[in-house]
Amino acid sequence: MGHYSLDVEIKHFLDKYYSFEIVEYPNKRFAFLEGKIDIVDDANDYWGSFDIQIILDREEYPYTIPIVTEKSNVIDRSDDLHISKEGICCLDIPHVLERMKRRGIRFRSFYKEVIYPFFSNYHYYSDKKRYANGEYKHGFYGIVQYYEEEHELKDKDYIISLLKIAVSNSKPERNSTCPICGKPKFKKCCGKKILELLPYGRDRLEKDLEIFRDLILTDEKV
Amino acid sequence: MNVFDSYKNVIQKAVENDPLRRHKSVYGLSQPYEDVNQDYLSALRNELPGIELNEGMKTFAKGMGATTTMTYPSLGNHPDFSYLRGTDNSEDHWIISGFIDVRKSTQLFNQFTKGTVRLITESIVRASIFAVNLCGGYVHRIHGDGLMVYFGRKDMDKKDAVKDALISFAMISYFVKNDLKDYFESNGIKDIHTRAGLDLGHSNQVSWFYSGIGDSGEVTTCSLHTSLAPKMQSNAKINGIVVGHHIYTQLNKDKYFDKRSNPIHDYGDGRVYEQYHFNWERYLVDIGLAVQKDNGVLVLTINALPTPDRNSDHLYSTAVKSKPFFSNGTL
Repeated sequence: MGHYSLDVEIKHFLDKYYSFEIVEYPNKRFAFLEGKIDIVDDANDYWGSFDIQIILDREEYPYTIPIVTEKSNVIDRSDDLHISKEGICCLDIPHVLERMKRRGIRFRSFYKEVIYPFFSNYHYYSDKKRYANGEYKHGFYGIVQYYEEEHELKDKDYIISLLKIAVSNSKPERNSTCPICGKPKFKKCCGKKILELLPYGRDRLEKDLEIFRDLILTDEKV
Repeated sequence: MNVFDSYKNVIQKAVENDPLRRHKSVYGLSQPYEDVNQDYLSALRNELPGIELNEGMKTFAKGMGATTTMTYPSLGNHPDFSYLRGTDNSEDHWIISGFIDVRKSTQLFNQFTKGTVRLITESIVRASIFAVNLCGGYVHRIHGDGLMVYFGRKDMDKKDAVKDALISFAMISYFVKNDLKDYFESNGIKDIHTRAGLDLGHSNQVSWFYSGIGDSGEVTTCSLHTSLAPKMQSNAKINGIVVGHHIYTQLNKDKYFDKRSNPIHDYGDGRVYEQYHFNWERYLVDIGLAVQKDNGVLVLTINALPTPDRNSDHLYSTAVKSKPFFSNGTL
């Protein structure tokens, strides 16, 4: 994607969402947007508003993920509500956010497609006692769940094998024998899965490798 | 809170049952077609809110601190100056003059019978009259789907009247932009929109008098600022409101105003009178009369209070995009 100026993007955002303003803080590297997010449903019924702060990294933009903090204390500071004691919102699983970050975001789309749905989902959950699209388990069990749901990967040993290759500096040739399953062409079997994982970035995949290794050890102890 | 739903519903029913539209769909012809549904249109007209407001409108009026039983005074006869009717007297008193109408509405005649157009126009006019009266304004004249309006009375503060005028015109603009435009576009009526102009004349600039002969007349104003308001209206953008410098100075908040490059009037002595685009959407949000959806579109509310009896199923389309996760801070 092309490089979008954050200041231009923020100007367009402020021209459209009137409850927000840019707030000046000494650290000029970051842009601080503060304001009110209103939740309105498809029937144009209004559910309530949240005072929020959005922090954007000017230097990294568009390759960054905004930090969103709920300031109005409408949401109880509870793990079950996916918010820290300080009000920082867990907008999505790190893998999804990391993939967005590596591709680059456009802030207005991020607001509409990620930030707004998070708060809309809070009201949905408050009313129905379940999230509209379910939720991930907390901690690394959520990562396991993500691999299963997003990549149809359940076998931890197999996942570790994939991750080892994904984070290594030398990948097998596409037409060579697969080092994991032994089939004749790597590109037609496990190579496909590894290609799915690469957009998360090396740092993320190394963390995942560690998580799955720890899980194997835990399982063995049990 | 869809305060204008009653008006919109009547328009939708009229359009959906329009004989010409149905005739076209059957025969593929575009030719004059007589109204055959007079009884239906008459019944539909009775569905429009009258002097008695429906519950949603009453709730909205209460929320705005307005009365729920509206009085609709006769046209051309402002209650505070009606004593001038039929006389040669005049009185100097400040007033805000406003003009608003719906543009591109003549297209309606290409698509629907005149009976349907009549009902659509009537609905827009009644919704506009409601919005004006709700905000303490006075409808001076009706022309098609346009209104000439005054805001201000002898017993009120000028600044309050300015706010009332801006809210009222903002609500009418909202109705056409948010409730009607998309519906009309889906029925082949393109680019329908409002344009509005507002200006304030101070007491030394406005003369109230009776214009006309015998009963053929009206109590009206002679003022540069009444005359400038329709000129400003013609300079407004799509769904826009242009206001004069006196309105700007009364509200005194730059964030709502964008000065037009050309003044609206040259006094001929080196002075000019400026005009401004008014950001009515920002204003409605700031004063708590509207909230914004995920895409920034406005929805009217009362003091930003949640809608009673809302249904969380209607949140699904946005909520489903989020699948939350809690990392315990270690991942």
